[in-house]
Amino acid sequence: MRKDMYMNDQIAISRLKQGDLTGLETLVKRYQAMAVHAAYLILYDRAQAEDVAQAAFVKTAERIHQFDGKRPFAPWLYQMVVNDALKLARKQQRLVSVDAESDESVTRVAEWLVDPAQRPEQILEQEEIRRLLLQAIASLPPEQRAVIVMRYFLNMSEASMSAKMERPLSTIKWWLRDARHRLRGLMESFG
Amino acid sequence: MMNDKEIRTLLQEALAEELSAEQIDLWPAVKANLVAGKQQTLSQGDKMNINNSLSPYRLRHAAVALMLVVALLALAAITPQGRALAENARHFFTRSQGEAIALPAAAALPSDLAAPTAEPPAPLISVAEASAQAGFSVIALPAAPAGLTFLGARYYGNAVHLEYQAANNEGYLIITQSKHGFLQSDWDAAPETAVIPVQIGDLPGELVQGTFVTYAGAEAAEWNPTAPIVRLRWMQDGIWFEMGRYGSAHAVTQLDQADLVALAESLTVQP
Repeated sequence: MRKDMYMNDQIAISRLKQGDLTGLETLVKRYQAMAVHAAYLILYDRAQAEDVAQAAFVKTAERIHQFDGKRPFAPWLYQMVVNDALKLARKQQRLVSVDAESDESVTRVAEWLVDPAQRPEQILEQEEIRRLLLQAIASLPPEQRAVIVMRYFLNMSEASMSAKMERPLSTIKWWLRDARHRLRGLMESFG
Repeated sequence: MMNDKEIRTLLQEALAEELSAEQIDLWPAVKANLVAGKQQTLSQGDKMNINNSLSPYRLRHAAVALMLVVALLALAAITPQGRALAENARHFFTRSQGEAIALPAAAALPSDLAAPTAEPPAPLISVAEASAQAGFSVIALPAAPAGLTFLGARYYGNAVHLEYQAANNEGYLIITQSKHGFLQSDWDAAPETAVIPVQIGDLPGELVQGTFVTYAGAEAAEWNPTAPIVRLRWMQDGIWFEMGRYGSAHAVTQLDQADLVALAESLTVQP
C-alpha cells in the first residue's frame, strides 16, 4: 500500500505542522494539478504555472503554522497560487495573441468576446469548444482571468475578491458579470 | 442558461485536456527546494522531515518488509495455527536502524518519485457504506471520546478510515482498518526503543509515539519522541488496524496509552 493513501488533509496538515514532510507530499500530490491549472489560466504558460504552483507548496511548508485548521486547505493554497500568478501576469501583461489568419473560428470567438452582439454563426465542432474557451479567456486581461479563477476555482465571494484584488466591489462585479455572461453566451452559442 | 457549475466543469475539462494531471509532478522540485534549504525561513531552523522512502536503499528495505508481510499473510491464510503464529510474531511497525535516517542529496533524488502516490480525498460516508465498499464489517467506537466528534468514514487506498475531530480542529483520532496491511515505508518506521508492546484484549499490538524530523539542509532525520503523533497497531480476524491520534488538542493529547488500548478494545460492529 502506498504510504500516503492513509492520509486525509487533516492528518497531512497535522503531520506537516510537526515537521513531517510526508504530510506535504500528500498535499502536493493531491492538489498540484488544480494549482497548476489555476495558475495556467492566468499565465497561459505551463512552465511559469508550474513554477508558481511549486512556490506555493514551498510557502505552504513555511507557513503551515499560520494555517487556520478550521478552514479547508484548498482555498488557502489556491489563493497563494492566484496571487502569485496575478503578480507575474501583471508584470508581463501577457496576452495570448489570437491569430486571425491561422484560426478563423478563434478569431470570431475573440471578436464576440469584445462585442457579444456579433455571435458566431458557424457551429463549431464540440471538441473545439474547450480549446476555444481557454483561448477566449486568454484574450481577457490578467485581472479578469484571475476573477474567473477565483470564482470558479476558489468559490470566493465578491467581497473577498475585492479585498484580494484591491479593487472596488463595483469593479469586481462588473468584471465578473462581464466575463461570466460572455463565457455563458459563448458556450451556449456552441451548444 | 448555463449555470456556474456547468461553466466550472467545462473549464476544468478544458484545463485537464490542455495540461494532463498525469504529466504534472511538482513533488521532486518542491522537495529539492526544501532539502537544499533554499528557502530562507527553513534555513533559519524550521523542522522538516524529508521523505526519501523511494531511494534504492529504502526500496530494498521496503521490499524485504513487504515480502515478510506477504509471507506472514500467506501463512496466516493457510492454517489457524499459522494465523496465531503470524499474529503473535509480527512486528506491526517497521524498525528503523537507530534514531536517525540518512538523507539523500537533493541532486540525487530518485526519478521514480514522479510516480503518483496519492488519491483524491474520498467523501465521508456511513460506517455501513464503508463496510459495503471494503468488503468486511467495519467496527467503530460505541461513542465518540470526550471532546471529539465523529465525522464519518472514508474509503480510499483499500482502507476504511473512521475520523473523529476535536472541537477546535487541532486534533484528530483516526481509526484505519484494512485487509491489505499497514504503511511500511521507512518514514512510518520507528526505532526499536520507541515501540511499546501492548495487549488489546488477547491480541498483541504495538504503540509508538513520535516521528522522524529534521532541519532543512540537514544530512539526517532524527527521531522526535515528543511529537504529538501516537499510533497503535494491531491485527484482528485478518483485518489490520491502526488507531492514530494527531495534533495538540487536549481532547486527543489526554488519550494516553491505556485510553487508546481501552478504545481499541471497545470497537464493535455498529447496529
